[in-house]
Amino acid sequence: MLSKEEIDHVAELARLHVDDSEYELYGKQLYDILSEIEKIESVDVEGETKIMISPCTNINEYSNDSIGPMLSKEDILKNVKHSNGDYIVVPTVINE
Amino acid sequence: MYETVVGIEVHVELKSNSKVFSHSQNEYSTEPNLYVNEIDLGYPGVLPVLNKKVIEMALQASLALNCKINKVMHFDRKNYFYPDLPKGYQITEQDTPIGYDGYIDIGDKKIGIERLHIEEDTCKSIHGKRGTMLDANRAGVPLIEIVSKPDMRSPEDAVKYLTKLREILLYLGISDVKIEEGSMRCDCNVSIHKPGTPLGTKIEIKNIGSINNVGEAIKYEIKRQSEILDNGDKIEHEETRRLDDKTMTTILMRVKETGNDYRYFPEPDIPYVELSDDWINDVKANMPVFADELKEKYKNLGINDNNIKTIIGRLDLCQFLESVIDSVDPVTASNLLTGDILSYLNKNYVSINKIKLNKDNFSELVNDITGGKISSKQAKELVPYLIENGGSVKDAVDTLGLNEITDTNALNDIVKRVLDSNPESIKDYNDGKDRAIKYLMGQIMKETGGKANPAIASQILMSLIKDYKL
Repeated sequence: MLSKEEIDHVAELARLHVDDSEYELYGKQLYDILSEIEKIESVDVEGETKIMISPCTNINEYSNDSIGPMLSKEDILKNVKHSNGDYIVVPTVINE
Repeated sequence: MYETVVGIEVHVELKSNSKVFSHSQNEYSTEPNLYVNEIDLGYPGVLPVLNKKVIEMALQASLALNCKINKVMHFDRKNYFYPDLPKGYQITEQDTPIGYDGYIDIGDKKIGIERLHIEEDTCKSIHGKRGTMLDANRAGVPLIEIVSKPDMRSPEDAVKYLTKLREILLYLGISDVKIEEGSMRCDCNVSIHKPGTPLGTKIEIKNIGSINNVGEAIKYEIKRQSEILDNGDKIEHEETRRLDDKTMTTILMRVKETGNDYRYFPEPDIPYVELSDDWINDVKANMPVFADELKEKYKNLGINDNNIKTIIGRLDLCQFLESVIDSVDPVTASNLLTGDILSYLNKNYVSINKIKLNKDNFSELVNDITGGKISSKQAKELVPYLIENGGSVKDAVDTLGLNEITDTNALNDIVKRVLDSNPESIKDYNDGKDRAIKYLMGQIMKETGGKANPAIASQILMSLIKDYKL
């Protein structure tokens, strides 16, 4: 099980609210996920040059630095809740 | 006394045509949200596709900074909640930076490069009372982040390091590297400690607006931190500060919390990037010439140090000179470029590529000067004309009425006429008064509207005056 503080920390990072009744459920689910990751971590990969990081083994495809279609400002702003002139407006964040 | 330890992180915007993971145009605009598509806005279901050009530019930078290359790379997601990043994560290279373990030679020592990696820029945000306003033009613009080792020991080291780094990137032609415009951004980590004791607590200074101000910020930090330690106090926490360029002091932005929790994991949407030896060699073979090599070359060609410094500092001038250097006299060319031409460019804030003086008429002009066809006085009139109007030097000379009279017969007649009407001066000359010649030359110039070739006219004058019978 994960502690209440650990669950709160993960929830905070994802900006999620956790009800008191949910701690037990999330605690178990997160613990199960971490256990699976521990299993993966225990695999001996010494000397392995190609560790899988991607779920596919495709060779990467590149784009060729050409300019393609872009969205009109009308379309961009259609999909946002708030706008001001040509800007997208979101709730104020204070960085400093 | 304390020892200062400085490490610098630099973000540089690459000037590819399109963004790093989308086909949107990579261009600065004052008009917000102009160069944006679904990928830049992180719409559900979109897939990033890596721009090959960006890899090549980052590879060039890595090679130029003497880095080792990660031949198999993957990208990672750096997760954080902030509205400048609509996806909720930034695609970066946490585990496998394209370049690592390099260095920059700053003259008296080498500064290590820890890593160089590719990542995407974020939206530009303007914080207001009624909300934060977002412009996604910058979202997805390719960046390289260059992290130095903590090898700098003084503000001077830091300024030298950044000047050199900027010059290298400028000459690679992969970025505008303009700090004032944000295409190069510097964050410095500064700490002080007594030699022989453990390193001090790091203070980060963010987003400093010029290379010189990086030096000033470090100077101030050394003073501030020394005072704290001298008082017997400790620098307890890592902090992020910013430079106030009015007072040249640093101001606390925030105390750093224990380790940012970015929950990096490999970006599953982008398969492995494999850099084959052929690809790396191809990029190596096409590396441009660097400033240091050019300085050496110009020195050997006899260009003076001041001109070299000026030309190397202006990439457009340097590239222009390079384009003509094999067909003209380099010294004359450099004098013209750093003289009236540069004054014009500076005054009008333009690049040499945007004016009508071009490779062809510039070469013609230099060759006419070195060939004695055009005097330097005439060149002074021709330069502004060619910059504004273009066309050949020959046409410009005609239009401006600068045709020199070099025809010896014609000049002979003119000189004779001048002598006939100035017997006094001939008498003065015979009496050994040198100024008579000056006066007579003046009369010849007056007669020809200034067009007589001075060298030929003076030769004719000297030969005629000797035998002149009064």
